[in-house]
Amino acid sequence: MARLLILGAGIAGQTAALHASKRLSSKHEVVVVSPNSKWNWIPSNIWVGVGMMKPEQVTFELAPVYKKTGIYFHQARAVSIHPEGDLSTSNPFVTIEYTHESKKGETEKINYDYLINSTGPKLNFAATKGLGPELNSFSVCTYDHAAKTFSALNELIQRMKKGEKKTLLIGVGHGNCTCQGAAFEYIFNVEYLLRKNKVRDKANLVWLSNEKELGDFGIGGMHIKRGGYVTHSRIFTESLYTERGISWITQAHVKEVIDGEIFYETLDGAEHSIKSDFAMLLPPFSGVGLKSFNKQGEEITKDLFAANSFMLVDADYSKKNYSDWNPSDWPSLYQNPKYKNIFAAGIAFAPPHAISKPMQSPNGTPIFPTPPRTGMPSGVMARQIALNITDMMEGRADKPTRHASMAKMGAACIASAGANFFKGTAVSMTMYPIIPDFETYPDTGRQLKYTTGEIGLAGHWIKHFLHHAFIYKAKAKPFWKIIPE
Amino acid sequence: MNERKPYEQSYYPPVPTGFTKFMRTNLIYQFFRFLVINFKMLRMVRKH
Repeated sequence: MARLLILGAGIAGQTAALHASKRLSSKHEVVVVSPNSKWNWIPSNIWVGVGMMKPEQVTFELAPVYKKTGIYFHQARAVSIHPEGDLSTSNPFVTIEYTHESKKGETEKINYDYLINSTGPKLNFAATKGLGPELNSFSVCTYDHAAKTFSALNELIQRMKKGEKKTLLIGVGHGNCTCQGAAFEYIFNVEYLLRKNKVRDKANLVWLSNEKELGDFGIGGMHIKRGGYVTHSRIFTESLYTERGISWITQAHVKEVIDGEIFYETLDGAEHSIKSDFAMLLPPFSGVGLKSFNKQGEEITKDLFAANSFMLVDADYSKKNYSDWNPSDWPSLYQNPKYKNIFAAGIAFAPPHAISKPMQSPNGTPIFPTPPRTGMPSGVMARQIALNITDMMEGRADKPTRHASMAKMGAACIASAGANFFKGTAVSMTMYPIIPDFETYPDTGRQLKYTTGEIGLAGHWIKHFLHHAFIYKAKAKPFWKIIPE
Repeated sequence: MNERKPYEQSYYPPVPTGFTKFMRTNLIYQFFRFLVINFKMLRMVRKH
């Protein structure tokens, strides 16, 4: 008997767990540890944030799904990894601390033969003074954040209906944030909601971001063929902001958020501030802060994790200038180089470097997006890791054989720009590869045949369909496997 | 709210014509685009 232990039950963790349990014979075990009792389809949280959906529509209880699929579930948070065991055992284990009410605070050691770290990010609101739903800004990172954000937004709309003018600031709350796409979706859904409530003329909508230019999205933007030209996403994004009457501030590192005002530094080193009545600013991410110890109990966290607490895998982490970056820097197996039975999927793995070009202000403040690795890539890499591990557990292979480098992987993304079955729109994008390859595709870094984008109602239909399809899949309902990642 | 004024940031980007905006929510055209986008996305999935 061998045991696969999966930390986290987000998109990556759930994908890995379902594929592994489907492929493993009954003599093996799949164990999932997650601090949350519910699974959350995070891409739809932006719709909770504009009141189009309730939290119950983007979540479901994990325990019944795991019971049905034969997966052992511990509602707990992982505290430390002991890849060599300790003085009492040579079996590797993870220490967990229960979050379930019945055992809250109790700790336990869970042995493993293979480990997947898919813990996702820590929402690092503390990186910016005053940032976060507990302080002076809102968030849509979790369904309860999103619900709280809608409550405040709705209150603001009621005041606008009485004639008050308001400034709404939406974007990212630190110079090294990622997930500009989620903030992009949120600002356009808010804009749609304001129009629907006939108060658009009362609202000054402002975008605030760390991107060098609009349309970067942490992937350096992308070029697509349209209207007889090969055009960068900056042009299309600026067009959409202009069309919807949204002004934008880019190249910004938010330094402090106080009630009603945001202070930020821009790439030219200048200090600015802007007053706002509502600020939805996404936080930067870091790893969840797992520690690691060797057999003697000495801390070896540096062997498993980078300084930002993301897990080290088979990437090239040597310091390189932007001009020396290579697609081969990116991992393809997501396997820790020292402990070969440990893998990381989704946001939990440490990227070798950014995708967008790193930049800093004259004051030395880094202001550039860190790389996104959520959604489709997250699911694809989790599936490949699960297939590799199950092959090894069943004796079909002695090392991982399937690769899933983001440098050789495409992605499809739908960004909502207003949710309505007849009047809504969404931007539908595909790109290949995710990591630009300027050696193979010298002009744009990506293959134009597979890199596309357009806005329209069809995108909204697809986004809505995907919402239901991925929740169906995550619930492991019949034929879930035919729904691709 | 944010009006286009000469030499300000919103003065320079291209903006869609009325026809382009109409086609974005035209049910017949968007049904066709729905099929096309799904084909493109499935083509991407098959590359993995």
